[in-house]
Amino acid sequence: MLQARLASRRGEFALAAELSADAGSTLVVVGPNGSGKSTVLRMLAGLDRPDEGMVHLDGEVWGDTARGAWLPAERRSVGWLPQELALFPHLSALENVAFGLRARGEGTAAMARAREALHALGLERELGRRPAALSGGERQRVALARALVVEPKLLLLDEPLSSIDPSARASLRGILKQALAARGVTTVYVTHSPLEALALGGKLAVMHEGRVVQEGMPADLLHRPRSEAAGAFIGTNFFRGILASRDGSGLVAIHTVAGELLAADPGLDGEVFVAIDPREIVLSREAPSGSARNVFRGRVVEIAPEPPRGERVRVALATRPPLVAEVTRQALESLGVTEGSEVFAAFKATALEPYQ
Amino acid sequence: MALVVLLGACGGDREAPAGRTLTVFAAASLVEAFGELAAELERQDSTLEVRLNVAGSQQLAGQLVRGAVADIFAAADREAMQFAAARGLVLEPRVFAHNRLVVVAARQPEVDMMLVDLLNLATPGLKLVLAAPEVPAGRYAREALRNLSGAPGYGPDFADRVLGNVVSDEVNVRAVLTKVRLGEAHAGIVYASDVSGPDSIARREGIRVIPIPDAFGVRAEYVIARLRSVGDSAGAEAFLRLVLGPQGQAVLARYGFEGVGPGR
Amino acid sequence: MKLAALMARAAGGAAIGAVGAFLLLPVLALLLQVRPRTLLAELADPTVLDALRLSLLTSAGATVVVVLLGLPVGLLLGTREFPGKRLLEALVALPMVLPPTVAGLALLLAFGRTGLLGGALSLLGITVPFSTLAVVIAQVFVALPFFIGASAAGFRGVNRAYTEVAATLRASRPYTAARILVPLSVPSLAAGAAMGWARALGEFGATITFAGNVPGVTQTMPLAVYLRLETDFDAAIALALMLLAVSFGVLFALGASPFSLGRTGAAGASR
Repeated sequence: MLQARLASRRGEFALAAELSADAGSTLVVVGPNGSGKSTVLRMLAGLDRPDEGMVHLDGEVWGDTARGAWLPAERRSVGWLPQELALFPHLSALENVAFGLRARGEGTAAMARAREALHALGLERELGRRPAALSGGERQRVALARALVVEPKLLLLDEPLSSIDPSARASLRGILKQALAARGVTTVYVTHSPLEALALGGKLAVMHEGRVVQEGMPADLLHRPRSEAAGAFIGTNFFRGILASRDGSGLVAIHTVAGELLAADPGLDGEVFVAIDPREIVLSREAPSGSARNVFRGRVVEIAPEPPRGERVRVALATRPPLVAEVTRQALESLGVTEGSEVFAAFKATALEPYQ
Repeated sequence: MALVVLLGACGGDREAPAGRTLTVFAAASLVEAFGELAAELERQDSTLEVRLNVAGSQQLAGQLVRGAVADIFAAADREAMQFAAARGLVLEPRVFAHNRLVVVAARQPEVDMMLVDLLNLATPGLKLVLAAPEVPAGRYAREALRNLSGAPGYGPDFADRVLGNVVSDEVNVRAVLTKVRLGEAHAGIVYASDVSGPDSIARREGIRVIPIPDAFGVRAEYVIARLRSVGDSAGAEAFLRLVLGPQGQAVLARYGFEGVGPGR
Repeated sequence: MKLAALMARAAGGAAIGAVGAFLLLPVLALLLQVRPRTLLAELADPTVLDALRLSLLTSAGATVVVVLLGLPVGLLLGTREFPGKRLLEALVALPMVLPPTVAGLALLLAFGRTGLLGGALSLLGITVPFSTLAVVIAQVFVALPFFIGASAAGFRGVNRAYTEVAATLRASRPYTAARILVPLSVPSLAAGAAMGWARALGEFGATITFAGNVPGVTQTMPLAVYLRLETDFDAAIALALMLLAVSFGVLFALGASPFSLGRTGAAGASR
């Protein structure tokens, strides 16, 4: 089991993160660039030292600043894959993988074990090649083999798929998940991509500006983001408000900083969060006459096509509160809406389920 | 283009008010004495600026032959002067001073015991430095040693035995003095002028000086001449008069040179 | 705009031409001055050959010592931060700014018979001044900063991620240095060694002061050239050309010069 608490301040940037992962599990740390993910990995690896903090792994103390202890990387048992992979350019794939074993004095056995590790990742033909002669995916696997072959207690992966051709990511992610599952090594996996984070399926920690703003399983995060950052991260409308009044019809009013929303009564009181799926929001040019209880008027500030094919578009609105709707391009065109148009945005109160 | 600017910048030295400059090429051993004489001449004639260029005599001759411009050339031996004279560069070379050779001994108790008189130069184990045979001081030193070999009491192999004690042929006579000063060598042979003078190193540091008797010593001849292509002949004449006159001779004597007397 | 660009190009061309002329003209002048007969005569002179051989031997020996001594310091300065680092850097650069004769004097005061270490050395039966050892010491002293500077720059240029990965693989610092840092810095190390060697070969001032001039023992080529200048200008030029040809030939053949410093070979490519 990994438990870590890390705090440091470097100029304007303050880091204060708490992380935990069960033994043998994968914790996915996800967040935008500059949120402190890589720094967290470097501190876990023993490459950087926090101003304050601790790292415990499987009962061993790897660092505890309160006790003035912070083991350097060479005295921990970590496998670290930096974003750039950093394969040694002058060594062959085999020598790269054997490096860690030879460094601790394993002679001929090192080469055999390195060969085995590369075989296991389907690289039996590439043993003698230098990194420059390998494809992105092959380099990736060599780097993984190099980190795994020394049997680390903690594996640290920093955006491992960022340098891979997008078309090859899914299959490589599959290989990665298998390898991790087979090893049962406790892993911290850093990515900026929500898609990748969710696809890995394990526990997530969302980082924003140096803090872990939410920790939980993918479903929990998708349905119940608990911060603006987490909301923005999964691309949903997120609001934080005070549950104000009940009208007896099963609906409640929620005061947010930017405006009032009507929602189904959750039976809660005080501060609540609401997430509004952009697909639940209906756009129209005239005031809607339907059953939707939440209707807002505002200007279209941006229209952005959704990957992969742009058949759906995300429409950002200057309403109070500001909303993002996701509609089909066709629907938008039939309404004649362009950036700058005035529109009405409507959604049912029952689409909102406040939570705490 | 950049070159021209560079060269221009180098030539931009400050000039005396009237712009008269006298350039004197002088042998290294003359640096203190001629420095004083140059200042004296500038005092006498405020429109004149004297520039001293000091180096080994042979180097100076080489510079002159290859087109360096000067008004006066003062060499530490006849050969260097002859080198320039043979190419018609100088007018009427004249001997203006002599310099004797002396033995200098390091100030160490072991040296005090080992080296009492000239005979001891041949003592086995004595570390002796001379100037290289290529430079005048080295040539004169070897000549003096040969002269001593012919003297009674020294023995015909004296010079060879002394040369066997030489641990280094220094590239100039000042380097010989440095080695003795630092105690790297027990003794060396230098010019008397190197260890005389009001503020000489020898005087300050108490280096022991053993004279070589006139009978055996070689007198280095210092020769001075005007350059044929002289720019400021009045200034050059004034400098020659000063050097050869009583005032100049007195200054040279103070720095350990022997004068030539006003009549010569 | 166009005119300005044209003028900038013209100025650049003029500067390159000026530098070319500035560097080549003196060498050309030497070449034009020398008479083949003088050159041959000097080549046949055993004292000249002694000086040449001594120069090559001592400078090669000094280069080996410089590399062995300089590597750890280059590693320290190139890969680590520590208090007093700037002080150490300034200290290491000192021999570069010290006038060579002063450097020689300093060496005498340290290793000379009456120097700081003189007593200890003489107890061991070692007398340094006027020996070939002194020549090598003088050359090492003046050449060391060149190699340390170049090697530190080389090590600094190696992507830090390589050494960090090596650390996570639990490689010791010496192991990482030997297997990662040194191989990836070879061009810089070669350039530094070449610069150090060239400096050692051309060393005059410190040698003459510290080692003296003993034919066959401490009289290296630069000393021989200097002494020839006292007696025979043409012969001196012939010797100088010999030295020039040998050093140019070696630098060219090794392909190592100050300019290989920027080439980081494989290290830079996969950043």
